[in-house]
Amino acid sequence: MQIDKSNKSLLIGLVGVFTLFMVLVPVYFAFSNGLPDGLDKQLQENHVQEKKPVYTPPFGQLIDYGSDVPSYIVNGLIGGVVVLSIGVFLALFLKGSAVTTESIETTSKSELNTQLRRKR
Amino acid sequence: MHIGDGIMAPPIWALGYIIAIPILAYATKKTGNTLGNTQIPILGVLAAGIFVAQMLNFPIGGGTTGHLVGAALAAILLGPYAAVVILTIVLIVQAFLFGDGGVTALGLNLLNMAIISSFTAYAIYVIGKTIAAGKAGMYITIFTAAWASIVISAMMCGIELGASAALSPEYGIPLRIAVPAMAITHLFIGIGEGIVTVLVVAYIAAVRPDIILTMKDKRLSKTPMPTTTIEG
Repeated sequence: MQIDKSNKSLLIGLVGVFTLFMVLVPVYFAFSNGLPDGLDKQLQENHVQEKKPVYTPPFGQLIDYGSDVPSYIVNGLIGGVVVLSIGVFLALFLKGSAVTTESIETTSKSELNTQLRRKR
Repeated sequence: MHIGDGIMAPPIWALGYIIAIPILAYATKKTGNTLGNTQIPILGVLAAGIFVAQMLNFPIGGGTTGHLVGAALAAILLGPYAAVVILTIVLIVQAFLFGDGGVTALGLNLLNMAIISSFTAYAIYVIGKTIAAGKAGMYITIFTAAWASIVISAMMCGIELGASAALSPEYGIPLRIAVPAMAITHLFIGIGEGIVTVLVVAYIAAVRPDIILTMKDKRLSKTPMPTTTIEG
């Protein structure tokens, strides 16, 4: 994967997304932090208690992304980079596997054709 | 809409995994076959964008907030199978690195937000695209697809809560309360999802229409559209 013009524009897009995120985190803290989402609201209204998690993330301090603007931004950027890396590597792997399978199939077909020609 | 641990009855969350895993496996295989080299970095950037967007809840009134799910956006840009893969990566990182969404409920979260959301949005987008007239029609289609993806997946979550309550009163919320409550709340959250999806697609259609894999018409842009198509 070369850093050509199109990848450069994606890199700019990524920087734009992360910048927008950093700008919007204080807005989130001002208007939405601490308020429940749609599901949490229904659980609260119906007195359903979320039980203790069966799994604790390796970085305890990362649970719930952070309680202040700086830690929230840092955790968001860490998570974003992790997701980006997994996404790109998985896509490369999948694309590679698909190409390999395709080439094996193509090779098998051409070998079969060669054998048929020899028999004739 | 991330379900935590201990909310759903064990047979329900186990069923979530049983249904989600084969669909994820198939979607992963299809993604490998359909993605072009150009789409590989886009998949990563889109996944990162959806991850950070899901962290930014917006108020919808009544002391409730909602956040972008992003399945509709991913399905419209890269197709439903890649959308499933993207949302799966996001949900797994959220659950295992940040404790957002329970590990036992991950199968259900994948089913609701990755699978049902992506395929609902894509189905509505494909049907709407054939009848939509002009640019406005396309944007109405995209808005509807994004909005419906949230409402349908929220209703599915309501059904899961209802099924859990039916199995054991220790879990979930009775069906007659859960489904309408989840649907009504997410009618409004879906509006936010629709607006953000339309804005992002409009922006991409203006600057880089070639990366929209599912769109081969010129209704959103005067720039030539890509020739790549989604298989299956």
